[in-house]
Amino acid sequence: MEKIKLNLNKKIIYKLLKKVSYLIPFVTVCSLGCNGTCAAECPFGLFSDPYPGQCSRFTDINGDNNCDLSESGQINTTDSEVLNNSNLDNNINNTDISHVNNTDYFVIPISLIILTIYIISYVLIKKNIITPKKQKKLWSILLLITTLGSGLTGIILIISINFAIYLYNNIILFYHVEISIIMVLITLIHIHIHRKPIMKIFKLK
Amino acid sequence: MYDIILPLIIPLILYIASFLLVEKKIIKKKFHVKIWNLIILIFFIVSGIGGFILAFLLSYNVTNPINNFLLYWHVEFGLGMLIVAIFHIHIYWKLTLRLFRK
Repeated sequence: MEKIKLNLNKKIIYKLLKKVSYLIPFVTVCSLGCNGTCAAECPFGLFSDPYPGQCSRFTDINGDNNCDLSESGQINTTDSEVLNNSNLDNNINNTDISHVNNTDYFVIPISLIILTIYIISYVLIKKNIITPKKQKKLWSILLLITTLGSGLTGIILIISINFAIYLYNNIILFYHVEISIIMVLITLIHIHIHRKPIMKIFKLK
Repeated sequence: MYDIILPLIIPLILYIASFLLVEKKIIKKKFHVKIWNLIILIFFIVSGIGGFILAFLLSYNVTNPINNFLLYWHVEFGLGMLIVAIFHIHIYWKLTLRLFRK
């Protein structure tokens, strides 16, 4: 009788182990997935994004009213093993640096280049090398091109944020900012070129 | 989450309304042009200059509570500016076409 009982117990344990073994790949995949998302960062390089957040990824597990993803180096887990992992710490430090790199826009160099080109074109007019009409044409075409570039990249970014599509967002954001800087400066030049009719706007009679 | 529809629809309705008023000779075309030039200027100041300031602050890692507020309104007014820019091209359509002629 005891032998039969032992055999039955062995069979039950074997069946249980077999069932558990089926779960191993699933648990492994889940834990890998967790590691992937736990070390997540804000895809837009935002810092301390407040409620309700700039995108649909807003998560606030720590309850500080800021998106956890936007808090640099923040990890959305309570798993102490993951926190103690030195490799992960290194990754977090690396992402902190990438945040800084991502937001490094060339505001002053671009401004100086555009301003220099405008001054050159202005000097060329004064020296009768090019006509004012040609100058107007050149800057208007440049404004049209940069407006299209800035607008299109901006629309792509809004759609990607609203519909949580995260493909090359940082690259698109970078080019959106750079093109927009050029566009703003060319718009200021456009305003300067057409300053006389623009001044008339404020005489609304 | 950004509002996409409203910043596009409101200027569109207003432009169609003012365009119809010009067509029915209730308001002068000059006034219509002036109003829309003023509107594009306001949109440019909020979206363009706001975005420029934002890029300047971000590139020098200046973080302040205004950044998020500025980013939100930069996006909303940017959408509005895009459609108002199309109206601007429509107003100066003949001049725009001349750009591509020799």
